[in-house]
Amino acid sequence: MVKRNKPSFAVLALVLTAVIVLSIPPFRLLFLKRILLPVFHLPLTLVHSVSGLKNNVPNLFFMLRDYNSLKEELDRLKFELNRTEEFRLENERLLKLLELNKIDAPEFTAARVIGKEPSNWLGSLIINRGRKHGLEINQPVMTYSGIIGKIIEVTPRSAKVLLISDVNSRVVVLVQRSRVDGILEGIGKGVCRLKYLPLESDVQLGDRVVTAGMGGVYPKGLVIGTIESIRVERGGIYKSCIVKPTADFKGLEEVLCINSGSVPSASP
Amino acid sequence: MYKLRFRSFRFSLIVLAALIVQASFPDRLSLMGVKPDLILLLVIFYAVHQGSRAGIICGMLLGLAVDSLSAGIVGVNVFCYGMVGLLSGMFKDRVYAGNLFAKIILAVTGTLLAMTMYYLIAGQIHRLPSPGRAVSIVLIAALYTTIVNLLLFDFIERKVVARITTI
Repeated sequence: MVKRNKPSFAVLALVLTAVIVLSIPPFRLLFLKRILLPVFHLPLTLVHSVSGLKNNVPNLFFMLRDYNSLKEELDRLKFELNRTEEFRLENERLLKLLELNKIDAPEFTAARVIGKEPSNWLGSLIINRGRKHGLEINQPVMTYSGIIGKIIEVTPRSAKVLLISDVNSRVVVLVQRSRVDGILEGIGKGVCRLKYLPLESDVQLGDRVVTAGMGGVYPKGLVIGTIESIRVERGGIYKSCIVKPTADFKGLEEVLCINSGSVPSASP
Repeated sequence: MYKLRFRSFRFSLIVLAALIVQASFPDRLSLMGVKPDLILLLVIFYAVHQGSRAGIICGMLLGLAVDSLSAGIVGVNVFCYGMVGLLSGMFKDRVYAGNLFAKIILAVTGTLLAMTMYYLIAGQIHRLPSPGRAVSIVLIAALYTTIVNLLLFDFIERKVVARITTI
């Protein structure tokens, strides 16, 4: 007798999935991610460590050579740091005189990138720090070059970061030189678009774009990128610019999460 | 005479490796900013060897794994991969190692179907790239995934499917 391969129950499950996805609000299904993401945490961390070791061992010779020059650089930077500290204290005193709010340097939690977005549609990262390390949803994430995104999901030992180049990302920003503000949105190709700039606004190629500090997520004044091209939008009402982020999303290995409590206020 | 035996444990290891590669080194795999969908290839592979019902289950499980690693919402890939599993399973016993044409058709249609369905469903819930950019992503991904399928299908088949001689 020929055994027939009946997919009826499986098809039912498939149809049920479609109904669930389209009818239940996405945040109600987030618990599934919180259960499953930790399953991948260990293998992803292991693979990241092994690949890091493979890259680092051949560089040992160069690392030793660089050690001495870096030591000299460190001494010089210590001297610079002392000078900066003097300026900071002076600035604090002057701000008190002007009765403005003190703007603290934010505190960071360092994290390693252990995974990246597997699909072709979105831009995200998985980092090896989570709720147990004090991370929360909406915390800004950056590298020393600039802002890269914000945390959108947190599990006890890992978190997911939505990149600023993702199409779902929106940040209120300022052009650093002219203080023109606008909305920066991701367009999904590793770059962003600065929208809704008035036609008469003063923007030039190479201008730096920084966070405006509005919206309560990103602190004010953090570098995002530089303007690469400018064009007038269809209809001729607004200008828009393509902004190339200063942080290199492809080579990301370590990131800094700005602790929520240390985010300085934008208002004076 | 011989019969085929599917080595599920070996296949599970390959799935785990593919998930880790897809989530750990996507930039190294990408061509013009587009990655091949290794997980989808494994769903197709499993379905053409095990049939529609197993294909749906495999597709749904792997879709859930991809959804959990992705920033997108849970369930869309469960459905899309499940559908590809269902349709690929209909070709059970019709695709064999030497059939180049079937492997190309399965990979192209599977990728086009999964990515188009994802775009149409997830696009109702959150933002996705513009339609023009989406078309280029889908076409490059389909082409790239097909090339990877041609390179990997026979290799995986040799590792996973054993021919047992019967009297």
